[in-house]
Parts: sequence; structure tokens; C-alpha cells
Amino acid sequence: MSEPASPTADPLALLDDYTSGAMPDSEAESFEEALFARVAHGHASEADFADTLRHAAEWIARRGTFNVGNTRAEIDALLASGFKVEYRDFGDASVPVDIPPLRPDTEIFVYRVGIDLRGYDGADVVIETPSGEPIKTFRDIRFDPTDGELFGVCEAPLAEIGFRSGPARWKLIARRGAERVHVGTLETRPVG
Amino acid sequence: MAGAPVSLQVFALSQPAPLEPLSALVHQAAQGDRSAATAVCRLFAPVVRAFARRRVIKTDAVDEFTQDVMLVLIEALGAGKLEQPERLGGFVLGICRNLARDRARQRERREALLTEYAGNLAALAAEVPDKPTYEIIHLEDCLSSLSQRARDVVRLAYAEAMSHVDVAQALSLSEGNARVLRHRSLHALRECMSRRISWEAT
Repeated sequence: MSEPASPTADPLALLDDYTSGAMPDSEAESFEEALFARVAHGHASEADFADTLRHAAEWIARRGTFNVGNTRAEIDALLASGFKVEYRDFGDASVPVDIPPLRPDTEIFVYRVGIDLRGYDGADVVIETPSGEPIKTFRDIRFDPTDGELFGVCEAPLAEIGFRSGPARWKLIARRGAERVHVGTLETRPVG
Repeated sequence: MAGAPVSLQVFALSQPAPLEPLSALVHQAAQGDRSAATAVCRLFAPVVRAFARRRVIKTDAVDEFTQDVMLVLIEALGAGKLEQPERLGGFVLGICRNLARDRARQRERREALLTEYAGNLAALAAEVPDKPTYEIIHLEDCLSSLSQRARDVVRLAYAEAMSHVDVAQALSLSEGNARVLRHRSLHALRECMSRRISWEAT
């Protein structure tokens, strides 16, 4: 038996309740009448977003790039999958890494960072420009449980944008309980 | 080819606004303009899929149901059955409800409609792309900024189309907590995807 859903007036949340089944049938009938009427007036952008999200999420899940950080076994499976994978070893992050253009036929970009994260509960990667301007944070990255190494996977076009837009510093912040430890900083710079 | 499945995957982030007001499109469709009927279908495809998602889980079944609705809609528009264009939303919903009530009886009729209107569906369909679209890599970028638990809830609810009950069970959460996490994750993604990809913004 479903728990009663608390009221919400947000269109995207309501649509999610509707499609996921959280919205009871007694409410769904009037909801869908209003939804279809709003589409006819061009006022249901949340439906377009949810539809695009679903298709894109299905695509990403099929490619195996949903997670942030992968295990060595997952990388081995990806290398054997038939996708055109370009693999780069970034070493132990002690020296800057030059990033040349990806091969034109690369579908998925894989990189390894040889830092041992064993013993930590989790880790984030904070990416900045060389002048310290924040770019983004990768949250809750996964690492290999056997040797603590970090393997990253992303679609080639995103790798082109992420690694070749300009030089960047990738600060690896590990967590152990409430403690946050700066484990290392990987510097990347596009070349060629 | 009658009966051949036609993928209705659409990857555009936002549906293009109709070139004509809906009433004009409905009128043109009734005059035999199939591109006008296709434009109406394109507008309603996301909510028809949402209607189907509530009732069936598998993506193939959602696509097939959506296709069935569109076939009936195209035929009805072409026959001028919608006399009051301002009631188009209710008209499409009525088709959805009728089809949901009795899928089995529709099989034979579906084959006949497919023979006649397969061309319209082909215009609506977009094959799953060989390469990731901007929306896909944008989503990949945005997902990496979420917590692992939020990524899990999006994967289960949207990539695997699990119901809210199954998502909660899979993550060992109460249904209420899973729902809150789902909503927060959706909003974070929508907000993120309203901006540019991270590196493009700096």
C-alpha cells in the first residue's frame, strides 16, 4: 500500500508522482485532464523535460556511463564491449598531464588515476581553473575497492569539452567520517 | 511495412513550438495536410508517453501505446472529427483512455491504420542516435554533480522505469523519502540542464 503523497503544486514533481504511480488514481484522472489541456495551450514544458530526461537516461545507462568513477572490472568489461574506447593513464597525479585531441572515432574516453583511495568512505573531485575559479564538482566518485585506484569514464564529446576547454586542476578530496583529506591534485592541459 | 515497430524516441530537449496555432493545424489536418497532423502528434507525444508510463513499464510497450494513440489521432484529424480545436487536449486524452481500456480489440484496427499512416509515424520517429546528442552529454555532466544516491534514484526511476514503490525498496528508503529524493534530484537536473555544460560556462 502506498503512503499518501504529500501535496505539491510543482508541475515537474506532480508529473513524476503521476508517472511513477505515487499519485493515487483518484487524483490522476483530474491531473491528466489538466495536463493534456495545458499541452494544447503550450504550457507543459515539464512533460518535455521529463520525456527528454527519460530517453537520455536510458541511453546513458545502456552505455555504462551513469556512475562517476568505476572499478577495474567495469573498465575491463567496457574495453571488451565493442565500443571504441580510448584509454589514458594519468599516472599518480604528481605531474601535469597533457591532453591531445581524442581520436575522431573514439566513443568512450577512459582514464586512470593511480591514487590509492582505500580506507576512505568516499571522495569528491573539485575542478577549478588554474586561477582557482570553480568549474564543477564530481560528487561521490567510486573507486576500485581492491587497489583504491580511480577510473573515470565519459562520452567522448564530453571528454573533449571537459579536458580540452583549457587547463584545469582536479582536486581530489577524500572523506573518512567527518574528516576531509586533500589527497592530490591532477593538472590537465590541452595540447595540439 | 504494416506492423513494423517504429521507434518514437525523441531527443530534443524542448519540443519545437507549433509553427501554426493549434486551431490552424487542426483545420489543415482536416484538409488532408499530414504534416499538420504530425505537428499535433509531436506536441502531444511527451504526455501520451507519460500516460502510458503510468500504466505500463517497458519502454517498448510505452512506444507501442504511443504509436497506437497517434495512429488514431492522425486518422481522426484527417477525417475532421475534432470540430472544436480548443478541446484537442481532451480529445487526445479520450483516445488514450479508450485505447488503455481495451488494447486487445485494437490489434486488428492497428494493422489497418499502420498500413495507411505509417508515413506519418516515420516523420515523428527518430532512431536512437549512434552518437550522444548534446542533451545526453549535458545530462551526463549534470548527473556527476549529484550524490550517488540521487544518481541511483534517477537511474531506477527514469532509465529503468521503476515504480515509486520499487525504487524505494531498491534503495531501502521509505516511499516518502524516496519521493522527496526523486523530486529534489529532478529539480537539480532541470536547473543544471537549463545552463550550459560546466566547462562551457567558464
